[in-house]
Amino acid sequence: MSRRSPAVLVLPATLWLVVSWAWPLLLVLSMSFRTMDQVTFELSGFTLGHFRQVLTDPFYLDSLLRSVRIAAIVTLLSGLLGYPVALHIAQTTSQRARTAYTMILLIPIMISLVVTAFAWILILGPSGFINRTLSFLGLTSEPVQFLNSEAGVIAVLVYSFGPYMIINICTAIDKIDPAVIRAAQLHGAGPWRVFRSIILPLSFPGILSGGLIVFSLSAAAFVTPYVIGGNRVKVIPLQIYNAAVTTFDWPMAATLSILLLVISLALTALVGRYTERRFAAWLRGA
Amino acid sequence: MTSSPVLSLRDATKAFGGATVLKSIDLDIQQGEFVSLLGPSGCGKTTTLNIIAGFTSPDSGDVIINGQRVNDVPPHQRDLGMVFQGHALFPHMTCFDNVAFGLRMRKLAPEVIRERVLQALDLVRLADFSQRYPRELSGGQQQRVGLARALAINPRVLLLDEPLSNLDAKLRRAMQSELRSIHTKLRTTMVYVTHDQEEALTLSDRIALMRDGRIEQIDTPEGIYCRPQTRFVADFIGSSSFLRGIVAEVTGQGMRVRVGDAGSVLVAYDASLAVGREVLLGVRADRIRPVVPGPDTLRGRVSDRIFAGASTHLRVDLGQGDEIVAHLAEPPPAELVADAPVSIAVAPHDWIVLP
Repeated sequence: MSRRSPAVLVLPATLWLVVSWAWPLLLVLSMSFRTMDQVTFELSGFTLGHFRQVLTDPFYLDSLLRSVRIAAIVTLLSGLLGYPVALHIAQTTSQRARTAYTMILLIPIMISLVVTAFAWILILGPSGFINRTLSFLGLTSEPVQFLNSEAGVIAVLVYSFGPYMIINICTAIDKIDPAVIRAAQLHGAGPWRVFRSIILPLSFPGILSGGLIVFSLSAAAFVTPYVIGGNRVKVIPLQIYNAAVTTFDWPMAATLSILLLVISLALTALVGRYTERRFAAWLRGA
Repeated sequence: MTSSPVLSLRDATKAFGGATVLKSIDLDIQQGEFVSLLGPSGCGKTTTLNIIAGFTSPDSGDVIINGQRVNDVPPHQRDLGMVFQGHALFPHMTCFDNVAFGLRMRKLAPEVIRERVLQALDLVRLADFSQRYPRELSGGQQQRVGLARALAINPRVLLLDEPLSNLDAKLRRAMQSELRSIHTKLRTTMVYVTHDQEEALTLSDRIALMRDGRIEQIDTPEGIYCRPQTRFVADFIGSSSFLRGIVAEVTGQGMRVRVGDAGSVLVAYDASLAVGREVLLGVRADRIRPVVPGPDTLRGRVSDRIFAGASTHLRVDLGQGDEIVAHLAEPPPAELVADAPVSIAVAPHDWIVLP
């Protein structure tokens, strides 16, 4: 085999990526700077108008902020709720129990988001499980409006994407050398100090990578806000859909898509920089 | 040693899933002593260390530190230090913070911590590396930081779990002498787990040789080497050959033991062995000399001659399945090659006589 063979082997995948990913992305990027004739759908000229509109028009600006807010809250909740779960799984020694936990974690990932969302309607609805429990306990006199609300969307997103957080944290905890924990114990650290000084900081890279995934997925989520939020919780992906399908304003859809992409990329770069600066020394050669 | 021991195990027993790994271990370690737990893998030495540390609790028996039963005291309250096989440094902390860890857990004043950390790093000659992270150090340096971390808290007992086994041979020897000088300087009580007999012999005040969950013999290095009490000990330490013999007579100089048709040898007198008693004779490979045939020598044939650098190994067949291996510092006469007849002699006190 020649030295060129690895390059030859990745060629099909590269071509496929160029055709299916790079080319459409370039199209979307160029479209965001064009003006479209509403009648003939013809693209022309070069304008920054769409970007200006998104960043000044409260209609779009609100969606942008709402998307970022929802993604941030979902990330935070996934971390807070997921960490103890990840810790418990990582400390489970029984192989059987671990397999069971993994299956449970994979269920939300494997089931279609549409199915998940509709199942949650039954839970969150006016006569759903939660509202019936609340009224049975006498805590509420009339049903709480979970559907068509940000809270409902956040709850379902945490359910759908939380497992990514748990899996990432769990992997990070698993990688901690048990002898390091024993060393901390023997040199005077009680259970809380072991967690605080050893386990938590050493699993931080897992929290960051899990957070990045959950944030990006939540910011880009369409099905959940669409089904649970009923087109009332206006997030960016919903606005993209509306612009492209309802008002046929393709340049606006393209602009919103690019902005969403930029937010995710910027966050990834930021986390990358932070990780590099903070953990470089002890991760070197890991 | 009349003072009460700083660390004791009383009748400690431990089983894992039906397999008993420790069978009634009794051990007393005095203040300032360096005791090695030596033995092949699976002999229970690491379990013993884990029981002392508190990572494992014994099924029965007691762990006593400074006269206090500590069975129910968790590891972080036992006031021990430990050096681990794979350094086990905190990867996200600098050397300084690693060494300071135990002191901070003890809530000492920052300036006291600073002083003791630098002192400990100075002791292992790494004072200039205090701001480095463990990954930026070599294996030997990492292990020295691990040692400094354990010593900084001035532990009642320092436990060492095969701390040098991941280092290469040359570095290992350098670390051995460093460890020795630190022990001489600080007189910290140390319990050292190893499977390396040479390491145990050079470092220890006493060696507890373990086998199948029991302490086979606990003695000074000289005692273990020169006066092994069982065949296992004689076999494990050094390179020994064993022969079956029968006590033939008691003479003025000692006892004469017959070894089959190969001849007879003179051994030191042992009142517990009567004439006619069958015994096991052991001899270290470096205590055997080829000699001219004569009384109290063994006759045999050379079955192999191997050049091994510092010494020449001579394998001698004594007939009836008995074989003896001699390591000779002086190259033996050239005619001693395979199949040549040879006589060998061993000084009476060099014979290990086991009932």
